[in-house]
Amino acid sequence: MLIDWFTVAAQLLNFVILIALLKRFLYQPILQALDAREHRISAELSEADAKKQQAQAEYEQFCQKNQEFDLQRAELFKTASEEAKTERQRLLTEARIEADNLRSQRQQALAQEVEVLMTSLTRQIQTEVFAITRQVLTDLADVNLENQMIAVFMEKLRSSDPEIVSVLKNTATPLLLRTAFTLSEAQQLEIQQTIAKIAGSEIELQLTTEAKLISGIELSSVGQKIVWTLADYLGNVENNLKNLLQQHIDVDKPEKHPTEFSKRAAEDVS
Amino acid sequence: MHLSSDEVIFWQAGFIKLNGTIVTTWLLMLILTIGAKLITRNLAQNNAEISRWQSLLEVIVTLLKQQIAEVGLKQPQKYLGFLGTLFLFIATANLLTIFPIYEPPTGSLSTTLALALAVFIAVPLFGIQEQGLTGFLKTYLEPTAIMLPFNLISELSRTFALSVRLFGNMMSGSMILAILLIITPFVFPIVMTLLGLLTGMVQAYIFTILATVYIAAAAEICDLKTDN
Repeated sequence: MLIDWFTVAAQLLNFVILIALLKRFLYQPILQALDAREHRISAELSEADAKKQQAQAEYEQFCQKNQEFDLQRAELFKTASEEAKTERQRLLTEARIEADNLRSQRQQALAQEVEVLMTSLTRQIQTEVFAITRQVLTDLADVNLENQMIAVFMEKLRSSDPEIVSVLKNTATPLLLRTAFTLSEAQQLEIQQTIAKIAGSEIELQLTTEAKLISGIELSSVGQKIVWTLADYLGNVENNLKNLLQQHIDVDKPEKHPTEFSKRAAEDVS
Repeated sequence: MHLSSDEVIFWQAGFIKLNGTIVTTWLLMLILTIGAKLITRNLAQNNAEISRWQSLLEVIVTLLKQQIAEVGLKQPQKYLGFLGTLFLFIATANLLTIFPIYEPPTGSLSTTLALALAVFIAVPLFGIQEQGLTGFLKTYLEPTAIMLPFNLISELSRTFALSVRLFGNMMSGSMILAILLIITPFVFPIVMTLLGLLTGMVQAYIFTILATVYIAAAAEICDLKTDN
């Protein structure tokens, strides 16, 4: 007999016991472990999703901030550029004005120097010419220059020049006679008599000696003047010297030869 | 030479006897229980700490669940205890045939009949659990009451078929192996053992799947009703 009923019953019982044992020691722990792991993984995935969403949000926020920052930076850069440009213009303008002022001051100073130099030069030339002339006349012609000048002056007075006559007749105040050299008493008297003769009456005459006249005689009343000096003759020389100096000044002028600074300033402005 | 391990009797008192089938079954129960206990006593939660044995058990349990679900049972955990044990017991009993002196308890008609009876009892139990006693009994009258005897015969015959199929396959495998050992003791028995292993695994799968199908058939009506 292949079927032993006791064995069948025993095996049935064994199988039921085995089911209980395996449920207790195998399926339950394994399923619990699987469930726990699934829950954990699910939680981790949820957390990862949340973190991903958070990261995405932060990324978007960062991008937005970055864009705002770029815009701000561009705006600030633009503002700074404009301010710098304005400031540069202002500084350039100031520098140009200052340079113009300095140039103007320098030109003024130069003009003053020229004036002083010309005055000094003229006087020096007058003195030299007068001295040379006097020396030459004394040495070669045995003539005293001052005396001759007085003589010529007297001659002029006597020639009844309408201008001189007008001055002498119309004067109400004492006449002022300035000479570059000291007049002798005879000369003074002669002059006084000649004037009185022309004017037709006695005129008070004040005599003064001024070296700056340089071998000259100057008869002046109020608003009128008769000058008799070397200055008129030296006028051409003075003019020539002035022209020569002016040429030198013009050569040095920055307008004709702009400096590097003014060149750069011009470029910057353009 | 004997056909079944039932014939190997270690101890007997009246009709109570301790034969080879029972002892081998106890041995298998011990191996399965102690193995399960050893592996599941320190179950790791972290993926990096999971042992190979735990992975193996998880794979087996997950596969069983999948198979049960694929047949049509919507709550595989509920049937896992019965069907999983059925598969593990038969598979282990058959796998151990690689040991020369081992005789699988599944090679005994008493064991296979006991397993088939277990299925025979479990099917109505699960059916009643799902749809109640009346609902389950009504299934024997479907499609018409005339079909009642045929349904009953079908129940009995499929149970008998289950037991005989498993017994026949396992017993024949053991018998062929024993005969071949006598005729050609070298090499050839190894090939047959390998074939026996394959047959054993296939039989375990067939037995379990058929049991699952029977249970699913009993619970199906209820599922359909629930769906409707």
